[in-house]
Amino acid sequence: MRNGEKKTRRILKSFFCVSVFTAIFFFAASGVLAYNVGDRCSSDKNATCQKQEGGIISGVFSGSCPSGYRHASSLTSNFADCGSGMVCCISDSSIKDQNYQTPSDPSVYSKSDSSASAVSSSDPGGLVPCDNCTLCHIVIGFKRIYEFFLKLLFVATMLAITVSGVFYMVSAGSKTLTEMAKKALTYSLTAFVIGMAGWIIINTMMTALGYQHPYGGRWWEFTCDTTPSKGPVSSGRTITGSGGGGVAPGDGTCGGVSVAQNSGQCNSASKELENTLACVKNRVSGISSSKNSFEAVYFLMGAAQAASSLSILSLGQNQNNGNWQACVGENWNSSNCPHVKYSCHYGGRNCQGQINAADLTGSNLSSIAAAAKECNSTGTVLFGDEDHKNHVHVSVNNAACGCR
Amino acid sequence: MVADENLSYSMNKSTKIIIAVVSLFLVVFVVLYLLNSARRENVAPPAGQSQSYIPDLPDENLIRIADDKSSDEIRNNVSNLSAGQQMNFTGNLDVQELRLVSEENQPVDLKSFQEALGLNINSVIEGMIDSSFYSLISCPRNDGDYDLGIMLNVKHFSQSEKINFSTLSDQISKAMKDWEKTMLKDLHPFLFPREKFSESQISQELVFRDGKYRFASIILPSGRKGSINYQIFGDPMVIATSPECLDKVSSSLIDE
Repeated sequence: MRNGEKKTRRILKSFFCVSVFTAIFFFAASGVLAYNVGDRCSSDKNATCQKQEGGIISGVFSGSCPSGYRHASSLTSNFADCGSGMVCCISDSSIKDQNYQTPSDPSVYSKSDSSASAVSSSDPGGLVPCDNCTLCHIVIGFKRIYEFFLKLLFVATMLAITVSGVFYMVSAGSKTLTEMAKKALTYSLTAFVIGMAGWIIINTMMTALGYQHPYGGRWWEFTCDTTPSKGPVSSGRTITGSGGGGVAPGDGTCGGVSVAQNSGQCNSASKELENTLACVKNRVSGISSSKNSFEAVYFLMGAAQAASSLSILSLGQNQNNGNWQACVGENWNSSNCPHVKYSCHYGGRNCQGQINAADLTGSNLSSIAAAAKECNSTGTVLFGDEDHKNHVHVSVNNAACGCR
Repeated sequence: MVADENLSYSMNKSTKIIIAVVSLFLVVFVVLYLLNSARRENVAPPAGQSQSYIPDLPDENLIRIADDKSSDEIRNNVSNLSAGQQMNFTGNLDVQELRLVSEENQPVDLKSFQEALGLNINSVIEGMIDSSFYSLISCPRNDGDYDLGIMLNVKHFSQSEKINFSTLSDQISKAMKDWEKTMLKDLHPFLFPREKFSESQISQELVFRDGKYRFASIILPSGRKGSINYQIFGDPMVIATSPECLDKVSSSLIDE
């Protein structure tokens, strides 16, 4: 029986060690990635900061890039480091190297988003998310391994508690069995507490050290490029100015939030809007629908919002059979166009043709508004006045797109 | 005896594992700390430029202040605004949103604007708004004069600020109601720039009532009837000198 106890003890110790090592690996990898994330104009060999001349015309910088260079929007976060009155210019040759999509407006170009938080469609799934792997895929792999072990922690703890309970019940007075059940219960609960406390300890230390995410997220969130690097312009972030995609386009899912009408408009929503919608959905729906294991911690800490149903009342607009494109730009005041000039619903000044706002509704609007405020780091939440009694307006990319 | 030896061996092994894990953890911690410090130096945006969420405005909506640290400069530009000299109503908007910016296109801090005009903002509200994200509102009236207003915006809180978002709107509403008592005294130099209030007039406690907007009626020193009206639209909150001006803000500047 003593051998059995030792085995149990060894298994639990091994399990504990694996959990700790996985946490450390993920922590280290995400920290390194946070350090390396994104290129900046001033440090990019194929980009140059130039004095801005001629102002901004329809969201596109004009008249200041030298021959052979094209404008990248200084409004996007990772190319906004040139300083006031300066714009970022990227060489044509490096743009060609990077497979940029060329929309109808030749002065505007975009590169598909490939953030780690939304792994590309070529992601084969599983723990190793790539065929042509990059450093970013390693981090995604760590993240998935960590999430796997976190789930395993819950399952194994439940299993151990059940098994020890069964041992306890069938012990029928056997002191050895009772002792074994007690020890198994103690070890499993200890492992669970240590596993959970690890995250809290790291979180406390990061907060104490004053860690600030370069793009405003939390320390465990990261964005990196899954595109194999071919040249110095290696960021997966979009660098466009305007015209149907000033910021990263979404994947048409609307963050998993149901849409009451004109759900096809999800295809025009920005990535940031999708992320915000998904975050709001998680906040107001509790932990059951969460894709993020850390939501459980949020819930335990009481930071989750009160539960509410959630759906999108309107994206671009529902009037005029949902033809929101008819309201873009100077057409904002046409009939059947309900939103203001440069509304984020229509893309704003700089991202015309891309939806950067949604009107949300549900059973608890206050809760939705609070969640939207918490989830939204790039835009505005409107709620509570006469025009926003039956919905919460949430807009994103206010600075990049010149809208709210 | 053998069992004791096994136990002792097991303890030694456990201790070694624990020491190894703790050491590894400390090394990782120190390396990450150093990396983060280095990264902060590398990617820190240039002074005055941040990862903004503030929507830009067209050039004609910007009031450029040559010396944004000079109270006189700010005061002069704002008095031009209240006199309607800088109005350039473009498009078919009947309300103008204006921002004070430096020659370098950086927003003039709310604190500088307050100091220049002698304004005060309720301390709770001040802690909740973005001091670089405020707008001055001007609405032309039928009599050729202008109603004025100010739009403040609830800031985006950092992680270190422990905010309970579920009660945030209640806190803002309560703070605004607390501010009502001194709103006239605190904002009259901007809202009613040409009125000469006596000390007793500006110290009066206004009685605000609920209407389409929260409002208080005032008999101005010039004998004209006036009012202070405000509305919290969510993130933006607008204080204006007429309900009509708030109507225009609501229909033209605040999205549905």
